[in-house]
Amino acid sequence: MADVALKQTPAALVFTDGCLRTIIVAITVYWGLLAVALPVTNVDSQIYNLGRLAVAENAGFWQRNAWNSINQVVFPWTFDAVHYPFLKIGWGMAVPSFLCFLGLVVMVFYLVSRRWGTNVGLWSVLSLLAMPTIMLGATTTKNDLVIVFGVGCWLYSLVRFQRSQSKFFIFTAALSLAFTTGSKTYAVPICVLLIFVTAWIWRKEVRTLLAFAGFFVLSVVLFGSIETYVLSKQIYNHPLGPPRGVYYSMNRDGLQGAAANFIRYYLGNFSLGVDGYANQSGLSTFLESKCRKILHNLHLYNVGYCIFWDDDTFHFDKGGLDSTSDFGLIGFAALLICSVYIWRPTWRNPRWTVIASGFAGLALICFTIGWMPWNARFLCLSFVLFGVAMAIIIFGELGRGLWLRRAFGVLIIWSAFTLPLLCIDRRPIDLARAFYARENVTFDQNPYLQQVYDDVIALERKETGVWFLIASDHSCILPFFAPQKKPWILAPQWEQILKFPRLEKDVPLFVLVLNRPIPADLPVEIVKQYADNTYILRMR
Amino acid sequence: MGYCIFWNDDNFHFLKEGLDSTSDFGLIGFAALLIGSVYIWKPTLRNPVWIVVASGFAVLGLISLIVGWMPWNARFLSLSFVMFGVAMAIIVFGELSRGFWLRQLFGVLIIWSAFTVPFLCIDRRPIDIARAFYACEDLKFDQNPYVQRIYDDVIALRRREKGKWFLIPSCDAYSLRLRLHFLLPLLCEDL
Repeated sequence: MADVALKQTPAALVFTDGCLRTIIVAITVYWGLLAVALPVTNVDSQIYNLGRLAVAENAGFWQRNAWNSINQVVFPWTFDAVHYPFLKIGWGMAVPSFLCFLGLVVMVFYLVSRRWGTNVGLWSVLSLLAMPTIMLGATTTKNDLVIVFGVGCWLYSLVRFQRSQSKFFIFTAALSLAFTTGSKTYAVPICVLLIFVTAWIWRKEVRTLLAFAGFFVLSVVLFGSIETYVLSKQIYNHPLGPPRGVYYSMNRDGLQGAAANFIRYYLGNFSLGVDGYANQSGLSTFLESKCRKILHNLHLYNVGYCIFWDDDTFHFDKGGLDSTSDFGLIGFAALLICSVYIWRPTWRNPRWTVIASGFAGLALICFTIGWMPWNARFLCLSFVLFGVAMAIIIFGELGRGLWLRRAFGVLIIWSAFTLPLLCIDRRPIDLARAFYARENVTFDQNPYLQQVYDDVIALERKETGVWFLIASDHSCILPFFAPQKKPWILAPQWEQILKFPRLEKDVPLFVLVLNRPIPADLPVEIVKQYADNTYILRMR
Repeated sequence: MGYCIFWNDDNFHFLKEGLDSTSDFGLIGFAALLIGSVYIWKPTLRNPVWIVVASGFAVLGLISLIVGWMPWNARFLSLSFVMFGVAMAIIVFGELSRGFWLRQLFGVLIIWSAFTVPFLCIDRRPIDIARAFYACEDLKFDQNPYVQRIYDDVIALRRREKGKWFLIPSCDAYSLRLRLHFLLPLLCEDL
């Protein structure tokens, strides 16, 4: 374990601790309010992350007929399940992610300030607050930041165990890895790696290691999302879902694919910090063309992609959405600084270990996951490490360079303050809209569905009937569950509707069809028709 | 009452669009106005802060008295709001002996406003610094984009065919760019 002696920070502080604390508290309060107030806005969450909680509540978990999306079955759901009480309350949807962020902030501050002092600890925290994808992850219902939190808990537990020798921290190390494993598929290889690291660290403490193994097995059974793997095996004969689906979403080109992905992730995270919502700099297009050139010069043709993308269709997103953002100017600066420092290996300096771990995490993602435009959020762990390392280097280790520290200080605060204006769904006005136009915010990422939603509500108020929901693999089903007084009858197959026993003839049967073509011979009357094969039907 | 001739109670409106002439003084201007409005009722003639606040309101009164109201008159109030802003800073950070949290809150709000202003202005966003170099022409026509097409066509036609050009603008025509690039050289040629 690293030497934890406190190193004094450079004599001239750019901003005082009190000033930084105030800024951090103010910005954190802003994001916290968003986490509490915003409804579920994320499309993925509406389709499967939280959508499946509604399906499970309506039709049960151990069934095969009501799931409308493969993703509802095959992805681990431990962290998603944590959102259930908030779904019932109707508020605080992003509170679990935000608590993860707060936990991460506390751990980063604790670990950094012990060695480099409070000021550097505060700059490390502020660096995280200045990265768009991290703050979007902190206020979303998606399960990306929980991975960083889980890994942080594991590291924090190891450090605390080294100091106190308390068994509690063996338990928390095991629990954090198990919970992380159960939260996201790509966290599984990360956790496997960390288990080996844990075994290496405690290789001379057999009792500790055995206790860790025992706690880990128990925690995995409880929180490892075993049930989704079992259900997936039952439905698709494979614990990870349809085998072709898994294959298509992975990097299928080995080291070549990993190298190409690394170049794409690296260039994709070049940022001016001014993109996002309504501030398009055109940098993405420029970077795409350069990236294509570099890949082709290196003879890396069409490698490393998920099945839906290739050299012609790939593009970099900087649109300010949860899944289409980068890490901003500070993330870019951190990436560049770490890219220089990685070439100066000093094993005893934890700063180098942090940078190397960041690149290791990035390499693992490059090697395992096929490239998609919305993969930036998978790099949260790496960029948290890069951001912390940058803060340590600039504010903790540079003996000279007062003006450099001043420039970085202003840039970090500028980025942290301007971030809300560059994000979709997270602007200051969205905080107010969460109260007076909640429905609009819900459909911000999918506006055409709002009309459907309004019509369903109006029709339900006018006529009491039985409602079927028939949705496709990519349908946002979650918003339709919240206002419904009676439970939906989930029927992803048309036969299920036709075979439905009609006990009371007077009760009308309605079908909400989301993104599915309707068969020609179906005995129905079209009540409303929308774009993208979406209908409200009445059964004859 | 009080309007410029083109406006009345039915068609008047407030502008907060982020253009030079269609902007307000933001959250800090609003806070300064409120604080000034309270402070003005505690007249202490020996206190320079009160004099500053009173001067701000005096100028505001003068503008209200002499200039007819138009939606883009906010810029006429710059002097008043400079005074209100300075007075607010003195009151909050210089005179309040208690209120540590209030000062913290105001400090954060002022820094936040200062940092975010560039994103809320048309033509003054960070990207516009770059556009001033690589898309200067687009930037010049940002406030009147339909004129850009005309400008491009005039320039192209002038390059293709040499001839005499007359310019017949209306009183509100956006002709400065055309004059600079086209009319002035033409006049010089005639001389």
